[in-house]
Amino acid sequence: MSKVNQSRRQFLRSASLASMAGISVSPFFLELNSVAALAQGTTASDYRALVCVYLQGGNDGHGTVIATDSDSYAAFTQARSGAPSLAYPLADLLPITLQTPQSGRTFALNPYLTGVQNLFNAGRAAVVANTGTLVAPATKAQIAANSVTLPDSLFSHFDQTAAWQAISANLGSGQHTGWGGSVADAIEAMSMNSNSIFTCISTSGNCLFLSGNSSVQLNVTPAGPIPIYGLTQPPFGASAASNPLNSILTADETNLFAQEYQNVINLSMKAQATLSTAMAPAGAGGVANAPQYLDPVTAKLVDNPLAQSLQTVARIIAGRSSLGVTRQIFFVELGGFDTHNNQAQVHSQLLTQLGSAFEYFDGLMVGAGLSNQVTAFTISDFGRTLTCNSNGTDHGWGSHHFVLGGAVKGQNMYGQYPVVGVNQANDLGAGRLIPTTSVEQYAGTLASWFGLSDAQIRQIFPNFANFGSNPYLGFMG
Amino acid sequence: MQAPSAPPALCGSALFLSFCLLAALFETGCNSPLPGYGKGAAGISATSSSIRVNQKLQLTQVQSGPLNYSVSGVPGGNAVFGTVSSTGLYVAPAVVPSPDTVTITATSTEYPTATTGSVGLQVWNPIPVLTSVTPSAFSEGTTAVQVNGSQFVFGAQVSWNGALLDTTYVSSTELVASVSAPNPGTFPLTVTNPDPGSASATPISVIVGPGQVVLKLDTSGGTDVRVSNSIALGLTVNGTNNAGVTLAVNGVANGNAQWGTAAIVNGLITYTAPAVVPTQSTVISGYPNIVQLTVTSQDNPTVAIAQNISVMNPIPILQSVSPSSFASTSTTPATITLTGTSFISGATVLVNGSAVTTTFVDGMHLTAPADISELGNLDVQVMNPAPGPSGSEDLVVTVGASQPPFQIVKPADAARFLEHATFGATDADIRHLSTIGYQAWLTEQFNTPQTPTEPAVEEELIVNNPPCAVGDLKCNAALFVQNTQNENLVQAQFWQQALTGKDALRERIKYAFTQMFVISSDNSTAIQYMPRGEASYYDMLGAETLNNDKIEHGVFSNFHTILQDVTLSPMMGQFLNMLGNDKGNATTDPDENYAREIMQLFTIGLWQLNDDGSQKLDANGQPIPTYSNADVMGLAAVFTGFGWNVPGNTTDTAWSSCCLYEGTGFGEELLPMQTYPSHHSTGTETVLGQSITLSDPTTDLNAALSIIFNHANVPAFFAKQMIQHLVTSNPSPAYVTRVAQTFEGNGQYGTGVRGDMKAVITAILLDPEAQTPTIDSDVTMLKYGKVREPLLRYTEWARAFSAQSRNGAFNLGSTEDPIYGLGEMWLRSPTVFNWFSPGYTPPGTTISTDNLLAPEMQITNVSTVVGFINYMQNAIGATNTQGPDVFSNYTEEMQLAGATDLDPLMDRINLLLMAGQMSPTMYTAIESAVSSIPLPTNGDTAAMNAALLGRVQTAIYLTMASPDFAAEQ
Repeated sequence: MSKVNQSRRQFLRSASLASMAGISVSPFFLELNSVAALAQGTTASDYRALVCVYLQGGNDGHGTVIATDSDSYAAFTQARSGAPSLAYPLADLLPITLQTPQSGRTFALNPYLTGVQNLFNAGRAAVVANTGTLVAPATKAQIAANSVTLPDSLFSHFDQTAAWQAISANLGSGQHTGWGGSVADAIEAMSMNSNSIFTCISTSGNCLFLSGNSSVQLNVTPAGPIPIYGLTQPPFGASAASNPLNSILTADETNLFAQEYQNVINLSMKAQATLSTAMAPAGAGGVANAPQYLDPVTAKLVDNPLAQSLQTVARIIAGRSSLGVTRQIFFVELGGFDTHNNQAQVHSQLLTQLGSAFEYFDGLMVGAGLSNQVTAFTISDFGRTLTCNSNGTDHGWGSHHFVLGGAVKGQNMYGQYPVVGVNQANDLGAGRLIPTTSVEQYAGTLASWFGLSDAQIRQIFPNFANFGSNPYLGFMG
Repeated sequence: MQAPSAPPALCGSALFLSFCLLAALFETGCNSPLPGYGKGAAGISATSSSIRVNQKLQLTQVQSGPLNYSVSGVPGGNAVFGTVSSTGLYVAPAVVPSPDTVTITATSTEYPTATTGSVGLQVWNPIPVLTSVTPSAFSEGTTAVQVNGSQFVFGAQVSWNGALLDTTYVSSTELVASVSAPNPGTFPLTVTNPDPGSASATPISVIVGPGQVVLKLDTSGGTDVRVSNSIALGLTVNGTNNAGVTLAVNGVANGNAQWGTAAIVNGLITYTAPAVVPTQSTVISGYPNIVQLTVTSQDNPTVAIAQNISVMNPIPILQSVSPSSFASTSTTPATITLTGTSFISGATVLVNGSAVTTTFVDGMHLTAPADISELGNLDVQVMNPAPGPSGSEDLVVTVGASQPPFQIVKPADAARFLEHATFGATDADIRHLSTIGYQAWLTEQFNTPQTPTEPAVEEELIVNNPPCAVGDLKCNAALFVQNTQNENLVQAQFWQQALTGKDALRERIKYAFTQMFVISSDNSTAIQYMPRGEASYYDMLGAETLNNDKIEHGVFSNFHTILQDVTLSPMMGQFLNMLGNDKGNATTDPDENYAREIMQLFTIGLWQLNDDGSQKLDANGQPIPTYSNADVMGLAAVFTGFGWNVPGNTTDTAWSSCCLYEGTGFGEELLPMQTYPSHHSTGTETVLGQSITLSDPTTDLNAALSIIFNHANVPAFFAKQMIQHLVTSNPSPAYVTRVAQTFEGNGQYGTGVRGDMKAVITAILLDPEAQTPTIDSDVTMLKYGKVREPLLRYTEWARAFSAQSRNGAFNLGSTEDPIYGLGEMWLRSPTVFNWFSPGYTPPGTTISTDNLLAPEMQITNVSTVVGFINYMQNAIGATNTQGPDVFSNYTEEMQLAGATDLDPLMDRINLLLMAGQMSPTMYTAIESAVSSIPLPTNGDTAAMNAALLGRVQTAIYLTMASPDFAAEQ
């Protein structure tokens, strides 16, 4: 056992005892949060948050951001002629106009991305084109000649998700820390947060992205953090004076698995009281509830789980002062993008949900005056094939991503949108795109905005220097 | 909202706010320059204190001369705060800014240091415009309406007849709300935007016509009930002001003693079952225990709905066994008399878990023979028969006085083994295994068949839904393959078998297989809508025979057979898209999903392995991939041309449409996929280095599966994962090797047959490393074992304390919520990667720095650890009258809870839940908490029972909350 970990466990244990000792809950304090909700916070100008939106399963970038100049669009429809429902009619596509044109080409978004189109045209969203996992720039010829190092296990969900979330020299899946967690470690090292357990928050399960060496991740559901009821009131009639639950939950464990399970319990007990008080309520008096979205398949209004996750994020951001944080990294997840089958329907539902959730979240941040301080961005397992099976697409590599927020130099596209078509320069086969922008450039650009120095960034992203003298993409203001 | 005016005292200063500057002008009646304004002062004023979004307002300049304008500090303004021209024309922004008041300041161009003029304006939301309401007319009752127009702002509300409604904001042009209109007539509907500047649109009149009564029952509380018990069903009556109904059971108004009674209690329909299960079929032929509840509208007696309800046998209560002890052994079986209540004709006595010939005397007495030929304890239990089969708590009969009973296996070892091999140790299983030994127990279990879940799911579907006419395919389809409502029925059947199945080993291994060969009804609507199909996938894993092919099937057969059955399952076909996978052509390629995952997740993994599970390395020390994307594409081509099994029909209609033939006991979702040769790829493909010339779908598929099955990785890949699921997260290389070699047909348990699952399971469970925890050389830290997954922690509780279903349904609802459930649910993992991955290690922990794995830690987080403890509080507290449907009476434990010496109670709980491994500190702490519950001394039996129950529940709760229990060693 290393000393680092020993001290961390010690920290968790003593911290949990401190929280047990009792942090008083002031009703007035809660009210402040509720009324002023997001806008409150005296040090608002110091605050910054990154919100990672993980499109689980591998989003079809080809069908998300579409080149509409006649050559590109013709190649797109030709490649998708086996499943015409995946080649959207030109008239249905949602045009976007770039502030910096890409050599005469025109672009549009998937017909179900109205929400993103609105944000894009309002200058609060940008596209980062053909981004993917790379060790170094790779060309088709280099790959054919086996003269360039490639990430391990391309096209595998598990491994490519790991490669996106956990940057490492060889991009293998054996990594246990993610770049969100590494950035949080740097924030902790700079003492930017007085209470670092609230730096990394996942509204999903445990994610690799937020796994750091010293930082921890908290999982928060819309229900908020709830207490272990039996701690305060023994449930079956035992006397409160002799309630041994706390000592049982914190006793010295000998078994490794019991120890680590216990550490999670202790972290939970430590975070619960503070977070449940600090978090703004949902709905009236707090953060407005997420609107339902109109399911394009069933034509029914349905709940938007992604927007609800982003509401949870906003509720925590509202409590940032009480949490003692000036930097936070969030992870939210929308599943279902592995559209091997029935893609037209599934993708339309997911993108509608995504656009609606983004618009809702942007509205919350603009309304709170935090738009310039909160940046959301998408990641996914990989892109998908340009060609299709009878009604879906398969695992690809490079893909197009969205960055969102007031600090984004919006209404623009960063990175090179590839020539569309099978057997083009960036096609590894079946339209599996060889990325021209690396995840590390994408991530490094965000980390730089977040406040990390160039040196810190180059330490976290070991392949950063492989992408030119200035690998930053410039999409952040 | 902000007040639009400010005290006059503030006027004249360069403060923000409103048109007070202009007001001051009128009040003083003075002309420019204003008092206090010097040369160059840039006074400005506005004619209003507010302005709506996108509107324009010309500001008035108090003194002449060019001015520089700013809005909220931004020269010329911007899109957020609005813009102002050099002539003072202000244009409000499109959206209300935050805060909603903007300050326009003006500075003289010529005298930039002179006094600055300023005007505050509150930006108001627009006035909404209403254009249509859909539907524009409807019947009385509750109706969802869609309201269209423009300028709707988030927070806008629909108001109906003057009252604001809960409104869903869809977009700036659309709102949705639910209108409750109890009476016919014409009513105004409008839309009101929120503050600042709240305003309403011109109303539209909506016509409400006379209603049509609609009755709806809420059966989420279940439709199963045990005799003499009650269930409540929710009722909604729409389309009328008269919500009154009349009730009947099997046509008898309000029911009777034979069929049960129905009444409205607190707005719910309460059905109380009769004292005995009806014996005469009335509703559905062959199901005498089903009665029909009919609800009829009083307002319109032609409107009625019917609901079937299943009446179940009671749970037997065993109070005593006579004699309770035998002084010595005898080769002549003794007769024991069991006394209790709620025994049913057909009840069976179990001795150490095995049924013995039972004589039914009456509802309170049974007699049975007991084998007392060996010293030791006998665990005795009563099982009542179907419908709603259930067991009593168990009682112990001792054979021999005080001498230690002879045992082949020590109870603690037996309990530990049962933690690996079953869903949890029971007293009966511990005693039985102790007596007969491991090998005999395994043989017995290998030969114990499963109780299939699919027929039970089908029966529940029939009971809970209106019957379909013969040949009514649409109705059948709605019932069986487009059924969105009945996931709970399938889950309930799983719980019933996991908690009470006598095929305890088979159930546990089936469950482990579902975690490797994952299908999930989450994110796969196709599976979610096919409750029978979902159940039949589970049954397939446990079936000994399938399709009359005279080959052994299921988890105790051969891995090759299981691989084939899983591959051809229509549910797997749906989940990973091999079903309907079409050959490629000029513009399409075959779907690669199943081809990739069968290799990566089910059989060989990404990297070449040694038999001990470690990666093989090349000359450069690098791991070697098992396959390339070309292999995936080759295998994808093999896996084409399989679709729904429509017997005798391989037309394109059958290929492209689901489920042409549906009916009771039959349907495509239950049958292995069939071939559609015209949709099968042609040509030659390479799969894992071997070439297959494609011809016939079945031949090609078998060839590919043989290549995969015989791949060198399979033994170690499977061995390590199955060990992780059953025994320990980090088996030693030697342990993996021993099991992998068994898979190959060799070693102590090998049978010479590759893939023999009985041999592999035996090798895993009886390996020395499984039977004796390995203590790492670092003696301060045990690295052996695993985190128990929460679902297994729950089943261990239920089995340990003979938990039963109060209603007979085992309906636990959804358990997947991380806060309010177990954070885990059978056949509901978020993706094909199961709830947790075999290679997961929790970051930033000693586990990861030690290069160890802890797969179950992937679902262990600050939410789930709290959720589990609270969930168990609820589960442990359930009783035969309240709480979750599955509860325990704790009869045996309560008999120990009143003693001065509480060690026997603690020992029993420690043995059943923790195989006797509880730490002394925890043991003492819990015992002390238990003894803090006082026992009444006044002879009050009810109070005594409550205290004893509280003591037992306290001990179990604290044990299960502990990190010590969460880790299985």
